Amino acid sequence: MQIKLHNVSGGVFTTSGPQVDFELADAGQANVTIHVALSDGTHFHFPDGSSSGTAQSTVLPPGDYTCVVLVAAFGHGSFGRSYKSTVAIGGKKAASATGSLPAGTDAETDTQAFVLRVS
Amino acid sequence: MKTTILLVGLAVPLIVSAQEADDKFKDFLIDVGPGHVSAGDMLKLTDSAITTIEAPKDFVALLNGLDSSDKSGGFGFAITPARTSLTPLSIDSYRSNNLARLWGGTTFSYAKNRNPLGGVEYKQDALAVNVSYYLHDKDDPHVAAYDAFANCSPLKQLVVDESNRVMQSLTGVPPEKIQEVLARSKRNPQFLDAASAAAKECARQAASPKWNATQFAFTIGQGWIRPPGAGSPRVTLARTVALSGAYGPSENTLLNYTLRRSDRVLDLDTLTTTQAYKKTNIAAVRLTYGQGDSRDLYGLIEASNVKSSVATLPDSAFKFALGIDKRVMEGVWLEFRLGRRRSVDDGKEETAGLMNLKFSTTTTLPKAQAKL
Repeated sequence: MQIKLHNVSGGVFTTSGPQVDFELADAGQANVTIHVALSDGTHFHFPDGSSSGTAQSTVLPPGDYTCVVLVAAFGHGSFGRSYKSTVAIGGKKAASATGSLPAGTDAETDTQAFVLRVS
Repeated sequence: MKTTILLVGLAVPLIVSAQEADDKFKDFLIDVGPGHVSAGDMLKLTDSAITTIEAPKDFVALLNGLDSSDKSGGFGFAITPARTSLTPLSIDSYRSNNLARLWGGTTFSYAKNRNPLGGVEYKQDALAVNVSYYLHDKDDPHVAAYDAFANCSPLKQLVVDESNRVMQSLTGVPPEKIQEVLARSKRNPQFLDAASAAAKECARQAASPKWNATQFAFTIGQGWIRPPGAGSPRVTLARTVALSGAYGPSENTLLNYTLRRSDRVLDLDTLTTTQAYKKTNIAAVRLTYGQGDSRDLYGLIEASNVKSSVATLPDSAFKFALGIDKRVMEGVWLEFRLGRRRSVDDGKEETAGLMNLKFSTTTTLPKAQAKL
């Protein structure tokens, strides 16, 4: 698994605040967990019981925040082995991971990070 | 009226004998379970001859099977399009949309083999479509497994801890250096091992199925037979439509029912002359009582419309029966049936008793829950 970053330039993803929406979603068949952590201590997690793609939001004063994105896919007891995960911030795609768990592998994960600049 | 007691499988010095006895035992019971019926079942192909298509690479195996089927005993395939990587249905759509669950439970299958009749090898093939559906989404094992995953607290805690660990390593790192530091800090195989174990444990706990979940299954299929030689006409072997279901009115009871219509069932004795066809309609119902949480004792009562005068129906099936299945120890079940059936010898009705010792973790009773 490899997480790709989108709209990140020089390690920075820019969005406007103070209210910032985070949309974590997966359209695959494997059991996938997506986690976004911000350096101010805010965490967003998928699945959270709501339907995939439901936006969660937080209020962020202007500034730079380190943002860590973790995606993990599991095959045990799952509907299938594919994953198609996305993280969108402020309506813009920030990270994605697409693929399938290889045969003989029950779990895969990757982590990415960038600076979230809130204007 | 006469009474017969058949003791099937009580003396089982070998596992093979027990298996044969078990197969014989099943011959006497109407299958009322809402299970999967495939083209392979129609031609009595073994599971190992069936290729399950999930990904493009499975088509390679399928093509190899097509090539070798002329030389071997048979081959078949089953495809549930929604569960393949070719036309995938996401688990999120599956659990939130009833129509998606219906499509997710739809399987297409094909099988072919050879059947030696009177020294001549006939080619047979069959097509079937099977749709199975749980009335309540929470009873669906895939939904239950995903819900258990989504609510898996130990896994979530591991993910939070791992994210915090990576975040700590990046504290004060300028944007242009983040990837360099991340490359070192994200190497943590212990996390994936621990997360995988936590996810597996949550799935395992969810795998305790509700034994009497309400569900139904619908199958339509047709088989054909063709004499050897180019240009030989293909004739219908059988055409079947079946609806079966399970209903759990209370925690301890399960009502199974099945309606099965087969028409154009070829009388194989007439294959080389003027083909003669028969048709059958089977309706059967079974009420099962499962005692206690451990479910090591089942009682059942079942009835069917099996008629003693119709030779196309399963010759030995009960038209009415009472039964008990008791787990005598781990992996060993004692199964007993008493009922009215048609005599194999003279076609007249008789009362028959059956007893079977089964070396298995489950009883012969059809389980309400499909496997994941």
